[in-house]
Amino acid sequence: MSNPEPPGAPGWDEGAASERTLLAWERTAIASLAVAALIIRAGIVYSLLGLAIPLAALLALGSVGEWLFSLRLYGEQRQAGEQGAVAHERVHAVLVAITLIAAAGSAALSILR
Amino acid sequence: MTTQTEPEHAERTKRGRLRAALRKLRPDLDVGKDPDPRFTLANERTFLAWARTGLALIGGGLVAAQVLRFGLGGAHLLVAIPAILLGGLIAIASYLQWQVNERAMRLGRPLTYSPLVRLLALGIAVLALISIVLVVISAIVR
Repeated sequence: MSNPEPPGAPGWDEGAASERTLLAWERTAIASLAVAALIIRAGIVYSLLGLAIPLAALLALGSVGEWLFSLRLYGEQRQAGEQGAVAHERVHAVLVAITLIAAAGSAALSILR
Repeated sequence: MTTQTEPEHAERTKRGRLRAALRKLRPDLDVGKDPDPRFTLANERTFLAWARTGLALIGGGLVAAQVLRFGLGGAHLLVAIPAILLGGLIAIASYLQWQVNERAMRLGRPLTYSPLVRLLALGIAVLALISIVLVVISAIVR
């Protein structure tokens, strides 16, 4: 990224940073779905569906939210050069909170089996 | 009669007070000037990559709990639980590091080294050590 175009200039995103960020969000959404599937499997194997279903639903919901947000972000980031940097602190915090709940639930599922 | 300014009125309402309290909890990201958007996006992608690493560790821990059998009672939990905990810890640390980087970029300061790399390396080394010990003990016991 040497000698970058100034923000707002045409071609500021020649490295497709906004597209790569969109894809990173989508990969994260897929990872959340994969963990949701593992939690459901653990719930079935250990007969703890009462715990597994709400956890998996939360992760799946988070995953859909991440996917929808990534689409919104893409449009937003295309204009980032004009608007300046776009930081999404709350969305990051929600993602961390969902991950922590998934971690706590996964630990509980493993111990309660 | 004195007229209330908008911020004063907001502070008086429940929602306004809650917002003010939340603002105090959040580190101030409204400092300095907007960095190059590409740097903000790169910081966001790094955060997401760490978040995925955390999710992968949680998933790995779940699989370990279901699949591993050492024949030593609940010994498989010695692999599963630390992996899940490490995943949660990485999620928190990645968020804090994202904030530190964002703030540094806004203030035009150099970025600090991430403690996450050491945390992950150490965590994986500990998991590997626990796994080796359990495999050897289970082989001896059988």
